[in-house]
Amino acid sequence: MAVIDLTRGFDEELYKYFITKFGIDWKACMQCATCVSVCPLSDYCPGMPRIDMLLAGLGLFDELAKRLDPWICDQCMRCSQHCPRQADPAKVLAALREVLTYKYDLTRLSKIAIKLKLRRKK
Amino acid sequence: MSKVGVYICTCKAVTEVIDVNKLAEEVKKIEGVTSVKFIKNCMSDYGPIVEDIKAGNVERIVIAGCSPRYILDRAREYFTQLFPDFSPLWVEVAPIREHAAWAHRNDKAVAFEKALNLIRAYVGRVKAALKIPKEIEVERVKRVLIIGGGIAGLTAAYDLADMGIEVILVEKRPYVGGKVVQWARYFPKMCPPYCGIEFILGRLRVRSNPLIKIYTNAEVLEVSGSPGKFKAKIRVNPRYVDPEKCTACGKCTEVCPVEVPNEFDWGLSRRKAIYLPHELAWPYAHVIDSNTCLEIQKPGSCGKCLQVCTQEAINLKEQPKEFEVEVGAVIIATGFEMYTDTPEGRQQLEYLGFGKYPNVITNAMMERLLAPNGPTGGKVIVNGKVPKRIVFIQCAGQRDVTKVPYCSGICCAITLKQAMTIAERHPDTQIYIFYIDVRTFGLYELFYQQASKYPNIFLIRGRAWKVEQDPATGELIVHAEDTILGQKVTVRADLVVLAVAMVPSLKISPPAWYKSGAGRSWEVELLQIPRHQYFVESDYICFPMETKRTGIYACGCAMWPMDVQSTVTSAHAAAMRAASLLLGKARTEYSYLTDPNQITIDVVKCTQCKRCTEECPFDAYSYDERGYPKPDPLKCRRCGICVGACPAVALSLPYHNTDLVMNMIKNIPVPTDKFAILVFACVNDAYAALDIALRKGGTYPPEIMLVIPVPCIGSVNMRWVADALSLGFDGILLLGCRSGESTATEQCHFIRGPDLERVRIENLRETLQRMAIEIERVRLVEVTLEDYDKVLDILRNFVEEVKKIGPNPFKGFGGGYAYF
Repeated sequence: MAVIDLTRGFDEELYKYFITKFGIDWKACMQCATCVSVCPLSDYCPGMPRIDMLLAGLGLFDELAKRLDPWICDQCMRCSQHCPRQADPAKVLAALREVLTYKYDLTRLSKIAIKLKLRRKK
Repeated sequence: MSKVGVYICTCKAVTEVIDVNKLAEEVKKIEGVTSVKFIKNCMSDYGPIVEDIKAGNVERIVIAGCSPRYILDRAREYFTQLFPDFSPLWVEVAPIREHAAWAHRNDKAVAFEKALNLIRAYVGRVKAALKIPKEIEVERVKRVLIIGGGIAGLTAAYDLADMGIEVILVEKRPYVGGKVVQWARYFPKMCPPYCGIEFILGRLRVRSNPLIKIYTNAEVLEVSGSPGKFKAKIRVNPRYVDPEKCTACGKCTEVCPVEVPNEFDWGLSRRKAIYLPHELAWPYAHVIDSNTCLEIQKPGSCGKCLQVCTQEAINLKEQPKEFEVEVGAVIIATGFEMYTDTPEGRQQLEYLGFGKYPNVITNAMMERLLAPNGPTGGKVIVNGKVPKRIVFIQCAGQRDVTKVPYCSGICCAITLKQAMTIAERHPDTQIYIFYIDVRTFGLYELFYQQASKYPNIFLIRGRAWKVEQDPATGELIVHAEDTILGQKVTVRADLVVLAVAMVPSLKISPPAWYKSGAGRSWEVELLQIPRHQYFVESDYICFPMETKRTGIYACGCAMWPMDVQSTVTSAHAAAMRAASLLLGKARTEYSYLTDPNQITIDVVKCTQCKRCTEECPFDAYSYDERGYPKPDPLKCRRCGICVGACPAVALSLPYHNTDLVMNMIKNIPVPTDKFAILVFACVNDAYAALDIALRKGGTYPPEIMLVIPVPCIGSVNMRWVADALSLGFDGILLLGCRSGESTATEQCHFIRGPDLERVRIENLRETLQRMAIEIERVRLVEVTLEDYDKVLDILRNFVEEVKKIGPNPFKGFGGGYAYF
């Protein structure tokens, strides 16, 4: 596996957009993996949703785009119920669906949309 | 011949098994017993005993009842209060409930015989008891020397001054406050440390308090003598500026031509040769660095400060002053140094780029960058601009057996504090923290949660293993593995901050002032086990503030890495221990000074072999002018290890000596037709474990004739063992605490009792071979208090093994009086 360059991989725009839209409480995640233990789908997607929380926390949206977890998630909310820090992983996965659509967009029009949205927030 | 009264407890536990009327008849036949009475219970029913003492029928008392652990202290206190002439040692307790009625609860005949033997043994013991007073008066100097004027030293000072104890505080720097004044903020309150120092100095009333004398720029040269009256030699190095006259106007600093790196900012800024250490320095006066001042190095070459000083406060010809002072106790509050301030540390941290790249700094330097009085006024500015990315590397050297094997404990919280401060001040800076574990114990966990919710703080679990520079951009690249992701990661950073270990100051500047009576090194004397970490104290858990030397206490980071809150707590505790030594009255075992149990040495028997000096764990021995060992009762902690060590049985403690123990042993008739085994048990662990085991319904074989409680298993003399064997006892079992001097797993409260005893048993081998006795008949077993479910099995197994060896060849010869 290749070495991940955290500096180059950091998608500042998406990260900022994610935080302005969904708040910061999810960053309290301490990678205890309670969510993985209770997730009924983690048998098929190893590390779901813990690794998604980690990658989102580091702003590595390129790596996230390679994963299917946000789309497989059933939103059974079990992880959010059991999260010891109330980081709400289910909500993060749901939110990631929106953010990742921008990532899949080859026309890059969505990037402009994000910029406009961020500007409006300010 | 002293008259002994035996008082048999008639509680149900005893009478169920033992026929006490028959026992009383038998006890009356024991030599020296003048009165035998029944008491309803042995805890409080002392009426018959008091009557007997008043009538003059008895002089010594043996209460036959529960274990002495429950009632001995209480009975001694009761009778010494009622009869002031009564020696506390004239009361003994024979545990016929535990060791007769319960230990042999299934066999009434054996229990009866055992009870009678126990009473015989204790009657023998009490007859040999000496008369000692309840407590003795010792003159103690009510003055404490505190070494180190950091937050720990200052806190201890105000506690002591509050109790009316004088304080001499010696600080090597030109100001008090230590490292704390260099920090930017305290966690988790995020308040300025200056405020705390100002508060403490105000509390001390440092400017007017007659009880507190602070010497800055000073060092301790020597501490000699005994606790309660140490002699301390102190040198005050010249400051060259009279703090009484200096107004800290700063004109001298303006004209001074010399500029050197400022150690207050860890070299991040520069200072003059005459300078004010920091804005709130106390004493509030300038100071001259004699190593760099031109005028001091070469008179006549400069002298500009002398011309501008309007107060005539500067005296460049000032000489160091030395003086001696008597102190009752010493508190070591020397604190810590950064690992990077040691040559070893600088070399070891090179792999993280420290010293190689200027942008790799320590967390202490970061603290200065964040401090409002720091070189950048509280902003993080590197090479003229705010860094875009800062990487914190946790455990820079810590938790690495080749560097610093321990965890400094507080760097995680420090890093989170610094990260949060940077995140607040520079919201566009990204902060990456590489950690192995975030060790924010207790309520600091909330602090961790708070920090993790900052959008620009990123926590990555992984140990950074390399820091290198990108030759193209000049950025630093930090390599690590994200262990959660399971992938190698790199981060480019403009600034790398290392969370550097705290190293005890004593490792860097050894306490040359420490003088041992027996000539031992200070490392052996003051340091905890394992010694290579250079932290001071004697027992990590049971008496942490004390060193092995009575009267020398430790607090703060000299003990182990601490945050400010724990440092202050430990300083309060150390002050309390010192005050207890100076003001205490021997009501607890802690007040060693007033305990009348003082060691006496019989110079007729002494061969000057120096075993006692060698084995005393508390350095209580020195030599008198004739070369005999001279015990210092003030340093002694009454463990009795020297009593056990002396090959000539020349040493005795009033409550533990050869007469007491041998009188117990030889008063028991050794049966010629059965096996007889003697047990010595450490009163702290093994004896208590036996009590618990017997209370829980256990029994032990009738071959165990007697269990003798001893203050420490190291206090069992091999002469007693050899004599008991020659008396016909078939086996001797020694129950001591867990040992292990080098691994910190030892549990002996006197540091090395079991270790010494093991060596002694090995040395006994030859003697026993000469007597044609197998060494296997003597065994040391380590027992902890929690082993109460195993201790009876240990006794049973030992009996079985002795039976395999066969009877003692000396049985029935009636020897064993060699000790006389």
